[in-house]
Amino acid sequence: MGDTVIVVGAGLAGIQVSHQLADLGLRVHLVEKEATVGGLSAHLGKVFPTDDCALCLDACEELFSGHHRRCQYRSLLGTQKKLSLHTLTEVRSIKHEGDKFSVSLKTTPRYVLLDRCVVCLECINVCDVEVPDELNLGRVLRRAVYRPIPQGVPLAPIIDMNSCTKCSKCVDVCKVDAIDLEQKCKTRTIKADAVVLATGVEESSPSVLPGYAYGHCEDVLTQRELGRLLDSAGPSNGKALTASGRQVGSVTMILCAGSRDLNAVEYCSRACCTYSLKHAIMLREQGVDVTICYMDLRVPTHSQSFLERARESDVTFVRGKPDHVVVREGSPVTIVEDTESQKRLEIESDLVVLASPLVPHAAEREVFNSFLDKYGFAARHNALKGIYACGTSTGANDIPGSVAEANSVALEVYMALKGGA
Amino acid sequence: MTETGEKKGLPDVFIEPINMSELDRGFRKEIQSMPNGEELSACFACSTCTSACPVANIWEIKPHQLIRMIILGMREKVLSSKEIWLCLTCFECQERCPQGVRVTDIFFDCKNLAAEENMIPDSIVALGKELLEKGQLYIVTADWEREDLDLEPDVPGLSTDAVKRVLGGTRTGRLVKGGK
Ligand SMILES: Cc1cc2nc3c(=O)[nH]c(=O)nc-3n(C[C@H](O)[C@H](O)[C@H](O)COP(=O)(O)OP(=O)(O)OC[C@H]3O[C@@H](n4cnc5c(N)ncnc54)[C@H](O)[C@@H]3O)c2cc1C
Ligand code: SF4
Ligand code: SF4
Ligand code: SF4
Ligand code: SF4
Repeated sequence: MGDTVIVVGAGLAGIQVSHQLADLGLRVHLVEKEATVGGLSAHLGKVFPTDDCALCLDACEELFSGHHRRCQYRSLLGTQKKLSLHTLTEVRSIKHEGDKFSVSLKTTPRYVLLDRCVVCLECINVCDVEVPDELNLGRVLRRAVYRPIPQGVPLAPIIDMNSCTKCSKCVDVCKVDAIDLEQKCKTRTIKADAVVLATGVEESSPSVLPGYAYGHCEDVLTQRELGRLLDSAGPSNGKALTASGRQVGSVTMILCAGSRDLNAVEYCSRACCTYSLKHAIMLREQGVDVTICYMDLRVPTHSQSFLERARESDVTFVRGKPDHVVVREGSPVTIVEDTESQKRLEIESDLVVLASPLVPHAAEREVFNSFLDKYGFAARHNALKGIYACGTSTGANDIPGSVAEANSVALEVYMALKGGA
Repeated sequence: MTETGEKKGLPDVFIEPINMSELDRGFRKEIQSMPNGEELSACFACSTCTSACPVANIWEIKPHQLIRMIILGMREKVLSSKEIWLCLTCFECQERCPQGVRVTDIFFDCKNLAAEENMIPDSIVALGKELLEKGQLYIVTADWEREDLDLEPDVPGLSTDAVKRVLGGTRTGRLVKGGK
């Protein structure tokens, strides 16, 4: 048996499984479609159950022997000998050949050469194209040459060719010739003995669900968008502001906005109850009134304290599922039957925040189709020997669940390739 | 898990404690065997139907409660409720139910059962009578409604005889005449 493993997706699960396998001596190629690693964790700021920064969870061998954590920006992802990171790279095809897989990869250009750039960031300073920063709800600007988040690995900037004017100022300022505005796509094929899908989930856009005024009113947000506002590194330094820039006084949250709904996403997205509570507590700390409309609260044991803290900090809980949000005088009003008091409530608030379903990334790409169930999730062990999956690619989950599954899959892959079985 | 704060105390509007011995355990099956009733027990009591409903705000028993009462077997209370007749049959609730419960259709089933047992409110019987006698419920008046629109006084081709004849042979006809 060979020892080469391809891990697709460098979210927390993909990073975890890659470190583990590399530490165990296998040869790992970690393939990530975005310019930097981290997946959802790059958007989250503080996370339950520990209230730590989501980026502070990088896990290589040192983590376990040295009793400390390290931020993703100091991660060994780029330096570990047995681990090659391929960012801006997607899987084009997976061919089964004997007991190996021939995996064809395509890398789109970063226009900044990773083997040269010393991350002085002069290029960003000199660029004068400014566009809305999509990661921050378009509320702040970024340059055409930019870094999605400062801690993103690889640390080198990336050039967004859709907005770059090719003025070449960055090329001129770069003292190490690290910028190549004419860089081309690259393809390569790797023979692997196992493939691990760690392609994760994303929050689905609520505009597919009628009724909640998302897209009609700028103050109807998703939890991920609220998370950006509350992140101290976010567009308003952690302050909750309305789209017009006013300090938010009240927020209404709608749980299961599209999950557990036969007309939208059938399954429970599992993490949203708890991150909604997390956000509610953070808002209360800013003195913002919070109302949570829920059917039932599905909080895992490790995070019960978030429910208790939300209660103690006077979050209002309304047991009932809103059917619609109407916009009155520019502000969203949530219509819900409070099943405890038997009253129909019309809750006016500055923001309405929807717990949108978490849907699998893998379903977006045809190459993974044959490994996926009807929802687009992969089985931890595919029927085809040698194909594995972990993290939220196997089903919506929180970080502890995703990382635990990554650890267990790492051992299984190791056993299959090296266990002598 | 259900969130129970201290704030609210017991609900003050709804029903007295449910008397278990009065429950009709077969009621749920009965409704499920009727047209579009199968999904009944998928209801997870989320109350989306009620917040979707344009009129339930003033009802004493709300749509999600009616569904729960059917599941529990509160046959008497459901079939004698005025709410099943107050329903506009707009289908909002049914359209929005996340569990695919066909709420409006189930209320139709309830009305049919109530009708079989002669539990129709007088106002509804009066409507049936009107329909049976005139062949239409809403009679367009020639003087202003049509005139104002520059239309000829009579609705062209309007014939209500067939409606009257057909209806006479249906349960509506029998009910109006005092039968079953
Ligand atoms: C608003 C919000 C708040 C949250 N808060 C918390 C919290 O406080 N605590 C907690 O425990 N959990 C929280 N979660 C859940 C948590 O984000 C996830 O459990 C975790 O990040 C999942 O990690 P993952 O590696 O499985 O997937 P992801 O983070 O989604 O990573 C998947 C990676 O795969 C890449 N990828 C996808 N498709 C391809 C492809 N075709 N080719 C190559 N690469 C691909 C993606 O770009 C991404 O980098 C939150 C989620 C949201 C949405
Ligand atoms: S100027 Fe050159 S070395 Fe400096 S960050 Fe930009 S690309 Fe890297
Ligand atoms: S985790 Fe909570 S909010 Fe999310 S789908 Fe499940 S029950 Fe709904
Ligand atoms: S919307 Fe459907 S599931 Fe929810 S209470 Fe009404 S009938 Fe039950
Ligand atoms: S069909 Fe009846 S119960 Fe349903 S929303 Fe319309 S009026 Fe309300």
